[in-house]
Parts: sequence; C-alpha cells; structure tokens
Amino acid sequence: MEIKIKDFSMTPGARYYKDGPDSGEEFYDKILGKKFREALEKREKLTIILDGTEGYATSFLDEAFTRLAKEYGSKEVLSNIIIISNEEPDWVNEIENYISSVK
Amino acid sequence: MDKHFIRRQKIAERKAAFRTRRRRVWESLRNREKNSKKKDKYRRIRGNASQYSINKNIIKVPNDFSLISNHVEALKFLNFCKSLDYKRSKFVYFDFQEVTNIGNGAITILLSIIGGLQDQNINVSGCYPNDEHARNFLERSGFLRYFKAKIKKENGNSRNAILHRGKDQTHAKETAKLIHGAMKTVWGEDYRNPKLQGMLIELMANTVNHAYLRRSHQKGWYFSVDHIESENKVRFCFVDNGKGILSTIKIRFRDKILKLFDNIDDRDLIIEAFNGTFGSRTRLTNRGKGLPVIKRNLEENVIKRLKVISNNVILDFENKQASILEEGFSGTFYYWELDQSCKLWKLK
Repeated sequence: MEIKIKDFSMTPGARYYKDGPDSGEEFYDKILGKKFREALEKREKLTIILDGTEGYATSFLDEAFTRLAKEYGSKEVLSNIIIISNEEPDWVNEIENYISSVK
Repeated sequence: MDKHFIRRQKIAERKAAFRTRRRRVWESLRNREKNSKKKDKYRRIRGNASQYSINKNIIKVPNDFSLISNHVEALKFLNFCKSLDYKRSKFVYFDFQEVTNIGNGAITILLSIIGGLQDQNINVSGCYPNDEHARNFLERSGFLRYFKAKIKKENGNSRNAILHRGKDQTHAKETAKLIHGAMKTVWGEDYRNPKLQGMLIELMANTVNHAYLRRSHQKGWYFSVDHIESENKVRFCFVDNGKGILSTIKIRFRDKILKLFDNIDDRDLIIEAFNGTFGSRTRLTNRGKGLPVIKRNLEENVIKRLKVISNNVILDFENKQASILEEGFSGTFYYWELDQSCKLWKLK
C-alpha cells in the first residue's frame, strides 16, 4: 500500500488543526491512521512518499508519525512502514527518530 | 408721536436684536471651539514627548528608515510607535515627507504595528515621501496595498509583496506562491524550494503558538518579499510583534536556564535557542525544532545573510556576530536573502 502526501495536500501545514489548514493532526486522522490499519489487516507494508509537496515543517511530520507510534507502538510502526523522500533525504532518519522516541 | 421717531426706534430695536443674535452666535462658536480643543486634548496620542511626534497625532518617520543602514534610529522610531498609548486616539498620521531611504524590514515592522492600531479601530493615514526613489520603493513594496492609496502605474505591477495572513493560523499556500515567485526571480524558473517553505511554516507556527500573549491586540505575522530582478536576488523579511524570543525563553525555561548556565549573557541565550538547547515548553524531545531549522538552512546554503533581531539582541549569522542593542525590539525580526549562490532546487 502507498500514500503520497502530495495527494493529501501540496502545502502541508503545521502541527494541530488550530494552527491552520492541512496540519499533521489532520493528516493522521484522515489518511495515515486509517491506511496503516488497513495495511496491517492486509499484512502489507505501508509506503509513504514525501516527495512532490512544497515542503514540510518538522511539526507536521512529528505530529503525524508520533501519533501513529502512540497508537500502534514504535516497533510495530517501524517494521511496517517504508518512508521514501528523495527530494529531502534527511526526513527519513528524522521521522524514524520521531517514531523511536515514543515509549 | 412723531412718525420719524417711531421709525428710528424700530430701527434701533432691530439693530439691538441683531447685535444680540450676533453675540449669541459668536459665543456659541467660541464655546464650540473651546469644547473641541478639550476633545482634541483627549484625542492626542499619549506617550513620552519625542522627536517623532510633531503635533497631536502626527508621527514623523526618520529620514533613513532602514534596519540595515540605520538600525539604531529605525528601532528607536518603531519602539516609539509601539510605546504610544493610542487608547483615546481616533486617527494617526505618518509623515513620510522627508524620508529618503526606506528598508523593507522597517516598513514591514511598521505595518505590523499599524495592523495592531487598525485592530483597535484607529484610522491610519500618511503622506508620500518627497524623494522620488523612496516614493517608488514605498509604492513597489506592497506596503500601500493595505491602505487606500494612489500608486503609479509602473509601480502597481511590482511583484514585491508584504503578505499578512491571519492572526492565529499558518498559511502555507500563500507562502508557497511567494516562494515560487522568488525562485523565478533568482533562477528564471518557477521551481519549488521545500527547505525554504518548511522554514516559513516553522516561523508562522512559532508566531501563532508562542509569540503573543493570549489577548494581545497586535497578534499576527508579516512576511515581505522584495525582488531585485537586476541582481537575480530576493530579500525576505518575517516579522512578529510579540514578546520576542528572549522573553519567551526567559519565561518558559527559567529553571532550565538556571540549571544549565551559571551566568549567561542575552546573546548566548538566544544563540543557544537557535542551537536547540531549550527544546519546547512541552518538554518533549521532538519539540522546539523551529529555530534550529532556520539556522540549519543557512548552514546548508538554502538561504544567505540571515539576520535576527529579537528583544535587545541582533544576530548576524553569516558573520557570526551577536551584539546587544541599546534600542531593542520587543518582537522578532528575521531577514535573509536568496540569490544564485544559494543551493538550487530544480523541483518543478
């Protein structure tokens, strides 16, 4: 299974709904959480493609992936997702750190 | 009775009545003037007497109004504008007549102060500079789009903009459009610049979440873009009128500062904030990465000539200089440039 964040928004915003449109919280609620559950049910890995948007704030990615890790656990999330970011390769490590930091 | 005598008496009575009427009108006019003087007195902006306040509600803008060439004077003036008590004012008039040089940063901060006045229903007006160069700059800057003002045709088509969006939200779509325009000026193509966009969202989010007191009148951020087509260069300013980075750190991380540092200078404190030492007030490890992202963008050559003024500190990141200002700024001002020596993002 695959998620292209640019299909959610070309201009992802900040952390919470209150911060403005297309926030990390909204991305988790509407796309990431549901797709991850679906992928687990189908026993597939979820590929998340970051390329193609206008750019990300740390808070957007932190909120979305930290929530996912809180819901399913760090180990479960790390072993079931593949992050692709060719335009900004640093994000892959950064997101893995966000997920790992959830205990 | 003599016919003539009666006639003269009637004329005299009419004259007397006329004089009485005239005196009453004159007295009422005089009273009205007195009352209006009283009202004027109350309407006057209250604050310390200053070289910038000419008369009543008229404020004189300094001749060299630029944070780059004359930051001491410009900050002094902006602080004067911020410190005034406008509570009983109906209007404020900014006199630009003798201004010969204007900087984008200075007018962006001025616009943010004016935004606060307009939120309090105070009418703001002003006049153009006599100097042709300064007038053209003002007209091209996008500053006048916030007022009913006549702009020369040739200046009306300028791509420069001062974008003010919302008091309590980030607006990634609008900043993305401005970044595309900037990339076109620098590289001749409408490229994306994800790092710069990410940095702008961080700045907007910082302003929305940390910069202001909850019920502040002057809430909001201002982002300005100044295209210099002849040099393939774009200058950016981002301003908020909040508490400033230093004040925020001192309030929120008092214990951490005391624990980490015995005796720390304001300059070092703000540098540590950009190094990410303090994290966020939520104490979560992934928070508080906004300021370090800005510094990293300079280190990775995404932007050039980054300068930050916040409270009483001015940071020149490129020259690695930090100075204490006599005349500080309660708020945060970011300045940076994008030119062909920056990293190219060929992303369509």
